[in-house]
Amino acid sequence: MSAMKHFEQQSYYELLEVAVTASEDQILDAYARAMETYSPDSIAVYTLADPEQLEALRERLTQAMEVLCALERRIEYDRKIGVTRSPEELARLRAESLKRAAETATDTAPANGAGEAPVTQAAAPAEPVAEVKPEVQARPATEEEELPEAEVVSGEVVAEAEPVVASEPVAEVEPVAASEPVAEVEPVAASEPVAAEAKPTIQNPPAEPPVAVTPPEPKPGPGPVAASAVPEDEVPAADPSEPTAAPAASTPPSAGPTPAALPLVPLAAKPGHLHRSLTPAPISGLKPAIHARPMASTARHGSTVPPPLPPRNGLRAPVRPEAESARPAPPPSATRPNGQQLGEAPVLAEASAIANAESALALVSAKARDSRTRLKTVVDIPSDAEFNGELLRRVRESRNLSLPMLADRTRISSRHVENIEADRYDILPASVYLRGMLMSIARELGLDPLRVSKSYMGLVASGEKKAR
Amino acid sequence: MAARTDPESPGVVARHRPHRIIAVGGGKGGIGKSLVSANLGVALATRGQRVLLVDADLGGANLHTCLGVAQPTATLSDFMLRPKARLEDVIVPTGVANLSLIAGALDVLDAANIKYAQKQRLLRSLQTQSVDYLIIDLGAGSSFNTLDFFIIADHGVLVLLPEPTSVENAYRFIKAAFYRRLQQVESQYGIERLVEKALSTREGAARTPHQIIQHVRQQNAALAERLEKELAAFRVKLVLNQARSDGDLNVGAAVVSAWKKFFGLEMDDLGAIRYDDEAWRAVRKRRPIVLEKPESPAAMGIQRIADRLLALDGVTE
Repeated sequence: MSAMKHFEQQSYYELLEVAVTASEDQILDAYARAMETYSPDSIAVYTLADPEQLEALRERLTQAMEVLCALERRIEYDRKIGVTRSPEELARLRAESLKRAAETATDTAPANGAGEAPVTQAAAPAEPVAEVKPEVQARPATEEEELPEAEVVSGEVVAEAEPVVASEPVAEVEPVAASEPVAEVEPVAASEPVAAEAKPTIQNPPAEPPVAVTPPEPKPGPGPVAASAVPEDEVPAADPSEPTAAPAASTPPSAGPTPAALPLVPLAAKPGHLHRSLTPAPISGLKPAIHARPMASTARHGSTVPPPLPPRNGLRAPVRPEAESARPAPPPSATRPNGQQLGEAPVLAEASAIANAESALALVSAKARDSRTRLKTVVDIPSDAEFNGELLRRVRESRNLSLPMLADRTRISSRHVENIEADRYDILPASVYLRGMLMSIARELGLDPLRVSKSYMGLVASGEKKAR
Repeated sequence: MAARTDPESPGVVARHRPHRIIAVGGGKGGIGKSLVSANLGVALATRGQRVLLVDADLGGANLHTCLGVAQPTATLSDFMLRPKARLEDVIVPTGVANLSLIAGALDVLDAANIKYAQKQRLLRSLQTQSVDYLIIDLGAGSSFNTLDFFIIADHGVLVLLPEPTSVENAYRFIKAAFYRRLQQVESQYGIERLVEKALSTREGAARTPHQIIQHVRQQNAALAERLEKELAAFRVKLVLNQARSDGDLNVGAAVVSAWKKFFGLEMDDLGAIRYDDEAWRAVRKRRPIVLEKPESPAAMGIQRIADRLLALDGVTE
């Protein structure tokens, strides 16, 4: 019977005290809470558990979090423990996973764009889109209108804002954001990390866009830009090889795999963004490319994406005209037919599940946008940056957050925060605690908790090696 | 805590039993057990429940003071010293509608060491009171005399402060209560030796319900199943008192989680009571907070706890 299990017998879900239907965000929250409850100085376990038991529990908790936050591993684990999910639920989980990944991407993207370098990067993508500079001007405008939060930020922000804008649309703001050009470029970047995190299979779609970009235009600007942007984001995700290597190279293989529904489903969710972004881009900047891309997207649609797309395009179409009349028309036409072609029932079911998931996600998006806005002030964080203490400190300072404030909000002792920021690896708490602390700090700073903790823990590990 | 099955109380009396017995304990002294008992009693009484408060702190009774009742004319010791006395004879009013009191044994120095027969008589008499809620305020410590009142209750309420000393005593207290409860059924399951060890040795006390059930399962799976059901009914209700920070408010949930993970049993978090200077001044005035300062955070915390208890019992106002 299940009534009296200790943690050794608990499932990952029981360990984290979340429902089997929990979203990644809920799992991460639960993990943070648990790490607090089971920290060595936690009052709740005083005299109830000895240090070794606590340590073992924390390790299990971390393991649970890591498995449940990697969708493929989670699905596999579910199979193992006999959790079955309806297609709708699977679709929802995929959508959430993608969304989170996209948020992560945006988190990093703005970071890239913050400094001088970023600006140029941001500018580059824009060019392809419109080929006209006016666009650049347009963006800031839209941003201000759309994001009142921007006001919070200082003057500098405005200058840096462009990149941010770019990133925001990527997430889920799209419907809101009228700024097509910006959105289009970034999505590409955003999508990739997603793909990488979610599954290898997904990599295809992201890869495709770059392909389209490179071949089509003589313009060195867009092609490289897109390519470079992509890789950066991917780095954290998983595949180091793809990014730097010519996107073109990666595309072919990706095309082949077009695996089953799995990868596709997620695409469908986020996808909305992806597609938009993908299609528009070609249309605007690269006319030759247009043909190539639609094709690519079509192929994808063919499998599953269609349903969600039509509505999106529908929405989009009106939006775009407002900003720029020329672009809107083509994309819809290209995508819609595809969508309609696929009327298979399962697909539709998935689509509706995805739609539900998306509407739920829309709620979350407000929060996400919040954190993204905060990111505007961020220091120049290269997307392949290692999150060492120095970088964390700069991010914190850029948020006008004092060390004691951060310590207070994360409920981590300021001594630990200080040591983390000073990269004093040798006197940091044991890795099980440290990981939880890093995740709390990252979350408070609006960074991706998993990325920050992995990056920092890597530094700690290599530091230990050196020491020996 | 499913201890209604006292073999000594015949089924006939069942009709006259209190609907629910709440026992308030916590192991440590000075953690606000009496304050919680008194104010919970008032809160329930003002919701129309007939409540009888019993001061079972046999060594240091002062529940009457928490309620602002003058030195009571009759106390529990009158009942215990006179074999003919009925419990009803020592019930005094509190001035609050629906709420009456049996004051503690003020004058019997060794009341804390009452004899087994006396205790059984008291327990039986308590269980036959016909009120909606019988609230037993327990003394400090984990002696059998205290534990036995705790485990006859439907709701064993554990009061806890967010302090290591209190947490330590609380865990010791509920583990002791758990094994005391187990002792009542040990012979049915052939686990006398395990229980004996658990109650007398440190290593034994480290044994968890899960391990005991495993042990029984080796002999008899069906029996193990039954025991597991019985033990799962040991479900303590937690009240966190004197929460001074927002972080303190989470201690209750953390304890519930930890108890499950390391001892394997469920616990219910009834809620927290804020530390509140204003409200504590009410204590000084010998007035229940919920009446003296109904708007204070502490009073509202108690009201929420009362609501949650009623909800658990399915009582709708």
